[in-house]
Amino acid sequence: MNMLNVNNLTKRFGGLVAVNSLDFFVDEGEIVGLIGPNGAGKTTVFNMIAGAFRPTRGEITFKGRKIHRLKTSAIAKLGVVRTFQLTNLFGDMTAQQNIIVGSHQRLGISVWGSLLNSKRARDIESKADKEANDILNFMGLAAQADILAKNLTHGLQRRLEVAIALAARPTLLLLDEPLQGMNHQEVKDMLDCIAEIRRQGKTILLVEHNMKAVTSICERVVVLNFGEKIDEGLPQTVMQNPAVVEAYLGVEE
Amino acid sequence: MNKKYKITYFVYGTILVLLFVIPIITQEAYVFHILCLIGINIVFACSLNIILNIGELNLAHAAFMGIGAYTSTILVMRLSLPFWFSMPVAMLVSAIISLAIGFLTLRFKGAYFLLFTFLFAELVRILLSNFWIGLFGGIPGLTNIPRPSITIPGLFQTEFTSNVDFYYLILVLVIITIFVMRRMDVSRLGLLFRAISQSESLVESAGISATRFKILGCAIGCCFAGLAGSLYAHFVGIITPHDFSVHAVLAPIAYVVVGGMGSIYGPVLGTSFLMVLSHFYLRQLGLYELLIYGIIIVLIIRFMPEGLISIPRVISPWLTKLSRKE
Repeated sequence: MNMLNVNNLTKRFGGLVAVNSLDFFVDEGEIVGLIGPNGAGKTTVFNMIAGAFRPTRGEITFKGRKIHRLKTSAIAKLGVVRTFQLTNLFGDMTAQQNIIVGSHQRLGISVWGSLLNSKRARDIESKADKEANDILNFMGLAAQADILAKNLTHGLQRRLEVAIALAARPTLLLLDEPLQGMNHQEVKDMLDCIAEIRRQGKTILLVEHNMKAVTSICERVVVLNFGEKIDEGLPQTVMQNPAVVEAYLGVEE
Repeated sequence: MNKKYKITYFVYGTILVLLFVIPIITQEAYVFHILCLIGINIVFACSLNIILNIGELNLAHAAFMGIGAYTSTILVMRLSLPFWFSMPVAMLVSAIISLAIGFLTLRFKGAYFLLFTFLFAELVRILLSNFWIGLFGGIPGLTNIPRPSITIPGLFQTEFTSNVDFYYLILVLVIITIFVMRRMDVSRLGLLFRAISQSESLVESAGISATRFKILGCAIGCCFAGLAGSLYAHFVGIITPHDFSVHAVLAPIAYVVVGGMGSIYGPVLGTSFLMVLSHFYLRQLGLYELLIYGIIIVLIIRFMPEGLISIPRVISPWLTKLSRKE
């Protein structure tokens, strides 16, 4: 059975059809790229999977459970965690605190226990601190643990966002343009990170513009144009498809 | 313990001792009348600060103070229950009503929430003015509200009739309030509130229901607004619906902003500073009072956007610059 199934998914904004009868799936352990030119509807699909938008029609199932009517927080609890296209962090909190918020739900610390400073709450809090440090180490952010998120460089901020998502221990990680606005070195570091996350057995669905990066890490890609799927398959094969080339580069005169 | 903490505890300790020995220096009733009002406003400003810190502005916050004031007064006067029972009940009633309101409205954000709270404030005012006049006293409100009393047989007895006695009661409750706020701020709850005010979408995507925590924050804030209301009713002795209208929340907003929103001590500092300023100094200026008051607030916000609490941070670079010149 596929981990994530998208069936006949449609989203309309007034008269605009942003996504039209889209079908695709993600298998456990896969890393799938969702690609397409600007305005193809990739982020809309993401928003529907993560519960930010309700689909107009169609359904999304995760491990056999319909999730397209659930709230974002409920979907995240099931193990589908996303990052955002535009940098989205708790700017006035340290990198470590950012990650602690990410792991809050999973560790199940009771707010009343924490308020009364109970032994159990303190134990969980120190466990959360330790885990946050592990994640910071893993993402190469150990030196920045106590720096406010808003003061990090763009590349490190993008990494911290992935780290926050990882803190929730997702089974399916949705990355929305993680390489956006990065320089060459930052792209390389981030790709290494993603490869490492993948090696740990996480399933990843990725929206990305950087074609070279997509071909290097994705096992399978789904190509969207004007809200419809135009091709699907191995990255190298898909790139040969004239329809895909046309969508990206336009028609030759 | 490092040096910074030592200094901090020394400063807090000194302030606390000074506050407890004020009655030795002066016994003037007016001074203590104002000090008590400052204490009540500090509790109120702190409670407002919680809600501001989860990123919402509650225009009905004074209405929740009113709910606390009326609950406490009615329990004491109509049912002859002791103040020490009515006060916690007043806090509880404010919190429970805010849970219901929060549940209905906190899924709306920003301006919509603001509008709803504005309506709720008016609703409470109209309800108290025009309905069940036998119970609420209508527009003239309730008068002759008794002050609380403590009797420990054979040991100790006070009626809190003098402002100095009431001052001690309020001082203790202010300290408890600040302690609770402080505890909340360093606990997980404070971290989540800050996270929600900075990015609700990210909190949601971490599997945490932001709305639930906003409702909780609102209820805790309104609970302390109820405390402030109960104290106000029994201190002043007269409450009218007008005392708790939308206007009543505007001055405390200024206290919080002038003091510094992000911190626990900001509202305390802002309330004390602005109230001491207006009641002890600007009073003499007559017509110019509000003008000067307004100008001072504008200047503080212009030059210290983070409030009075940021004075050490604003001044320290100047001091180092000055010392270098010499």
